[in-house]
Amino acid sequence: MNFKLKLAKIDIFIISILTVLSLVLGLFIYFVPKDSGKSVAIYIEGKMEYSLSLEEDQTLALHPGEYNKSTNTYPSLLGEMVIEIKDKSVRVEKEDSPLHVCSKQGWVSIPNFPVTCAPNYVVVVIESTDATNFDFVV
Amino acid sequence: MKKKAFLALLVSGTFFLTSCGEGKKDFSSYSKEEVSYCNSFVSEVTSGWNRVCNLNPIRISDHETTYPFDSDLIYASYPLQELDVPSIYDIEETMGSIFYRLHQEFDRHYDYFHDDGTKIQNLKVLNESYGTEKAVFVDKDLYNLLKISVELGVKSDNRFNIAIGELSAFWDDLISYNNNQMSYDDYIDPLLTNEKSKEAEKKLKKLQQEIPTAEELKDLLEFDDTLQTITFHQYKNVEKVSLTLGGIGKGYAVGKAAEALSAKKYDFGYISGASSSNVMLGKKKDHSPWTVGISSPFQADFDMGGYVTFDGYRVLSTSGDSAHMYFLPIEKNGKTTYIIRHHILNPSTGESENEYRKVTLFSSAISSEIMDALSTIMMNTKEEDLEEMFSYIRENYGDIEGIFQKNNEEETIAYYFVTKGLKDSFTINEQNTHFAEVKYYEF
Repeated sequence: MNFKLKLAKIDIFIISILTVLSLVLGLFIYFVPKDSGKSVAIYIEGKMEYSLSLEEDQTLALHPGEYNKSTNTYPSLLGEMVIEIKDKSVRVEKEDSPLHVCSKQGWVSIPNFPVTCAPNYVVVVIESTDATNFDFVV
Repeated sequence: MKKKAFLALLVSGTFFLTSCGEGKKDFSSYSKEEVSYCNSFVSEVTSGWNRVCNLNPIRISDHETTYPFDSDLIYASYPLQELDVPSIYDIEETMGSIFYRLHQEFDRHYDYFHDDGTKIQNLKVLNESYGTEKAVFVDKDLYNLLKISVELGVKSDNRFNIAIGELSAFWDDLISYNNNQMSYDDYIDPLLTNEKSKEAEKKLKKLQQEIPTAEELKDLLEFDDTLQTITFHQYKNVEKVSLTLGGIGKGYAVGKAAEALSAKKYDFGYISGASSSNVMLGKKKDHSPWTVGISSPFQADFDMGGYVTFDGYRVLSTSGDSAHMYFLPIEKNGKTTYIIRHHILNPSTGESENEYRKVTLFSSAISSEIMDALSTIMMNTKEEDLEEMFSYIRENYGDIEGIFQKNNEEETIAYYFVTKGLKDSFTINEQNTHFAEVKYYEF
């Protein structure tokens, strides 16, 4: 048996379109600058309440009281809490807790290394979409 | 589960806080009730990692507590589902009790007591026996670690020496004092010329004379293997010589905790002692390799310049100048430069060295305590002597690889000097904000 491959016009058209699309996609992936995608996620009682840009210096004040997101008020807080972002790092500047573990932790600039304010039910963590996620940092 | 976890933490914290203010002042035993649970949803939001922490403070006086080895001691494993709540408690109690006990034994500043009220024969007790010719019975761990330390001191040519207790205290005071000054004009340092600095210089010179070398220390400490006692003999006419396990104690404790957790089959995680002493206990449950970020040596930024990947068991030790340090401005030819005074001391010079900013060592054969001391030894080893040092260690202790970090004067380039064996597993992190450059040693 002798088969001869015969391409119809539509086949050529589809192949051309796919080739052009692949090229465009390839060029896009190659040339578009990689976004480090870092943001600061603030979890309160296990729920992500805020996602702040790590690129922008800012502070966020949280208050104890009946839940009201518009006034940053949360019942789990033992007292006023201030979270500060500066120079691509984040820290819990002020909080009320017996041991002050999270404010003592100081500045963090590494993704996935949480600042944990356990008595306040608050976790502050830099989240990253970077391809490289470290298990551990020295 | 989240609520339960937090409640456990709160309840245990409250128990501790309320229990330490009254009654018998016995803080030596580690009880189940004091075990806290610091895992909870932290892990769930951080890529599914379990983090079991050691949050149990040790009471050192009526008003003060400290954390074992003044460090965050953590067991972490992936993925989250691999540990249930009883296992987490088990891990925390297992490693917590080891850290708690060994901190007390290796502490040279405070007294601690057994349940029956007798004093724990710790390093402080041994230091107090200096020159009295009294043989002191100590626990097996302290006994063994002191023997290992003395031997390492001799083998390292005095680059590591546990007899620097007084020297270490001198620099600790300067570091704390200078970090609390608003202006460099108020700094005290043997290299400065103000009145207090001149006194400090005099004191440093005296201390340099009073520290026995590692070779001399071998004769000062008399070990009796049968009775498990140590006699701390007088050194010349020096009034006070004190031992410190600051450069090896935490590594020993992390190693012991690693052994205990491996025996209980928790060997898919790692233990970290504030990142300076770490043991990856085995393969991760998802069989992905360990990826360890090596941070840039710059003070102002903590970005990752590179990372290392490997499989299975590994001991990892790091020493550097970024913690417990101060910058000392020095005028030279009309230009101000800064040297870093830090806590890793060279026993031979009495000062800290600035050959490298940070040293990170990896081994699958050398014990955690020896690796802890080796990172100090490497910080005190000139670059031209590194090859010989590596060759000696490989021959006598087992495989070892390392990353030595430096930077240019302007702090714009981070250099990663990597030993041969890490060539295929070290990668420069292209997303690093600083410019990082890798160079490979021939050994």
